[in-house]
Amino acid sequence: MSIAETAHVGATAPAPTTNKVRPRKFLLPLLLPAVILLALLSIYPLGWLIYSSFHSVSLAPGAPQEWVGGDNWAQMIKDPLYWHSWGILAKYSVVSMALEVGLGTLLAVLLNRSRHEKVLVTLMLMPMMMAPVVAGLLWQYLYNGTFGWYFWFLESVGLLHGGTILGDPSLALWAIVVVDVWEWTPLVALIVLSGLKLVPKDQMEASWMDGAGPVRSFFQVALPSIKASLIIAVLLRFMDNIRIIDHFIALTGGGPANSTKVLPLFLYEQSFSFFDLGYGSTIALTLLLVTILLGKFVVASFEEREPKRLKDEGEVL
Amino acid sequence: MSLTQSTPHDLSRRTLLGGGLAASAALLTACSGGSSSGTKAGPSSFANDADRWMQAKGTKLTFITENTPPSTGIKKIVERGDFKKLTGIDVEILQFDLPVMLQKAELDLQSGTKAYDLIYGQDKPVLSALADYYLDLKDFLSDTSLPQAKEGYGDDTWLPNYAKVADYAYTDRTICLPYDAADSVFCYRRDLFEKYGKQFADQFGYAMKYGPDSTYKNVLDFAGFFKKLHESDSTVPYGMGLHLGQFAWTTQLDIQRVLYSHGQWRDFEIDDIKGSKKPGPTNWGNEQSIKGLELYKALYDTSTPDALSLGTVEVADAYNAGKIAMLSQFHEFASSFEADSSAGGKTKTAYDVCPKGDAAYLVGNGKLVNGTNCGIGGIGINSSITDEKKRAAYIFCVWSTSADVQQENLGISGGTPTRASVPEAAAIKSAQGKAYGSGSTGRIGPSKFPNALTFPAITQGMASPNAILGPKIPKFNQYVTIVATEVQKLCAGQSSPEVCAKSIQTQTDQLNGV
Repeated sequence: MSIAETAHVGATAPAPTTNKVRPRKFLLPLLLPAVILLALLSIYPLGWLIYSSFHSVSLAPGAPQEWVGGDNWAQMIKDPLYWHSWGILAKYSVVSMALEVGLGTLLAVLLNRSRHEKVLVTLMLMPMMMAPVVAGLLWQYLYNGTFGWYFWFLESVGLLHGGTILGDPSLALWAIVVVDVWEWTPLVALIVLSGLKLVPKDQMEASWMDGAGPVRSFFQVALPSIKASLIIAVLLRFMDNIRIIDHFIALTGGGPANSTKVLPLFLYEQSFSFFDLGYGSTIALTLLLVTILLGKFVVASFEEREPKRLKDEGEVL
Repeated sequence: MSLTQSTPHDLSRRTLLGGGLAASAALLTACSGGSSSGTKAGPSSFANDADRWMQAKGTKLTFITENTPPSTGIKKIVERGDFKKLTGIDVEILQFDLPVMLQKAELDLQSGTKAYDLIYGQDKPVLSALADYYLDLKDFLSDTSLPQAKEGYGDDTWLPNYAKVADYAYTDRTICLPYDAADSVFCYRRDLFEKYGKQFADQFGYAMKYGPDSTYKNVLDFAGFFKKLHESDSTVPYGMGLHLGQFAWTTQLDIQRVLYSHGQWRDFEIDDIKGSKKPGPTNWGNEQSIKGLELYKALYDTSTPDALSLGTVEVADAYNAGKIAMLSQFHEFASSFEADSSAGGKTKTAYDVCPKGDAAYLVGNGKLVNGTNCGIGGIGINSSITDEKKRAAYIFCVWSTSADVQQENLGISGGTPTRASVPEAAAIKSAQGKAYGSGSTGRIGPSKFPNALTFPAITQGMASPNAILGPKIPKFNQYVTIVATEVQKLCAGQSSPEVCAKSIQTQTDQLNGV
């Protein structure tokens, strides 16, 4: 019925119609160019990576790559530094992400209630705007035992009794965690803040009227609403964190005594310092595999908790 | 007579014959000049020497090098226009940290991209990996159609052992000319030695003086003495500075100096100058290496708490900030130590040859020497560039390694000359400061060319039997990473000298396929 037909007094509303599923025959032709581009950018390099992992790779043009079979894989499995690097990376990732998500959420909650939200958000985002390697260099100077401000401050307040930050194998990794948290907590805060904006105000008000305090209201009302944002934040940080290299190159180079040699740095060293590209490809493949598996795990954790009714609804374009 | 005035009728038979002979000579030379090094004879006669320099006018070259002070000085001279004025050749000089420079050069040379015409050849990290890609300069060195160094190229025209270290890797091909150098010398706060000398003598029973006969045991005493003083007076610096930070190569050099001083211990039993593509088993793990590590750990215990984070540059900063009293450092740092802003500036730093080995740390009957090692950077040519560019690049090699340019560079950036005549030049000789210490090699400032204060020390240190020049092995960069990591673990208390030495041995032998 047209508007003209329904506009006069006594007109009845037309019966509701169900959404039609649009034809899918245009889907493939429209997506194909993007898929081809993605394939060139992703699948070809992936294929080359797999190929390299079974060869001793030479960069010389036209030079044949030497087939080595599983030698690179065997070398990797037997290499204690490979496993050590995974351990360092796991410690680093878990702690830095836990801190970033926790602090980022707290920061978002505080900003959400602030009158000066816009200014504070702008200031808060500044560390994120810095290139990671620049942030690393900045903190290297701050931690420096000769002229670093933070070193001087920590020594002055007695927290570093003639000690050192980057020169101590038991401290160096945590010093880099601080840098990561400083730089990327704002990103988590920003994502969570956007989630907090969507929290139903009436539910919050109802919870306050029921006598719930701010902490309880947050955990019972706000947190379930921002779960999607949190998952996105965790996923984004995880993808970045597991490939981190910039801070480590700038601050410690993997030392002292390999205490900060995370897997990506070990991979970089094998591939581009020692030019053992076959071995580096092997390590890269395992890193890729773990990243995909863990990423899927994070996404699957979210999907499992979706109400069943969403899956039953037909797809709409 | 100008060309516009002459006509074919004016050409005499003599002129025709002369021109025909010259053309034939040029043709014959061109046909016979095709050696594997790629040299192609240019014009065989020049009106004068200026024309010889100008033969590659209009060529553009790219030179990739480490960001050392001498390279910075050369770059300034080039940017000033001196080289272009002389040769008409444009040179773009790209400077990077050594690991980055190595990566870029390796990528370029292995992939055949030819982005770089001239490549800095740091003797071990770069030449070990890339020697095969450098042009053999032998034909150019004897090519009279090219400008050549007044001094020539014999070993005696360079500082001791420089040519041997820079020119060769694995074969007899002359792949570089010595371009700059970083030789280890011993630097110490002579003002503190004088201030606390009596207290030291009372405690240890001998004078607190340093000289060529001072041993590592003496240095350990000095360093331990300062460390103990620091505990009661924080204005007194810590003892010994070491190179333990991110740069694995200088950590390996730091420990190698100590080990070589005792019985001339070497990393491998290979030719010290040419190195070897198959180095065989390492000497790590033997008794001497364990003893040497004990000494090194003892020195570490006298150092600053953040010693494990201090590489070559950072330990120099620490010295300049007054945090450490002495260190073995590369002689190019003398310029920064002499600065007024440095704690060791205003003549407070003395420079001398590196310490001698001590019998207390010697295993067997080997010689005790003033172990001195180095990073001699050569300048070499990419073997896959065009013949014309090779000739132009050679002209730059000759110019940049000439005594005149090196002498000027000393004044611009604190350069490190490689030509033997430079330290002997009157202006430089007079800049070598005042004699100091218990021998003939020690010097203190002031000096117009601060690096010159180290020349007496390096002249002795880099000569036999004190100099350790190798090892050049294909997996050099992996090897130094192994050594640096294990030595750091030792210093961090995570292993013992024996475990450290054996671990290096196992990993190194595995690396080299032994």
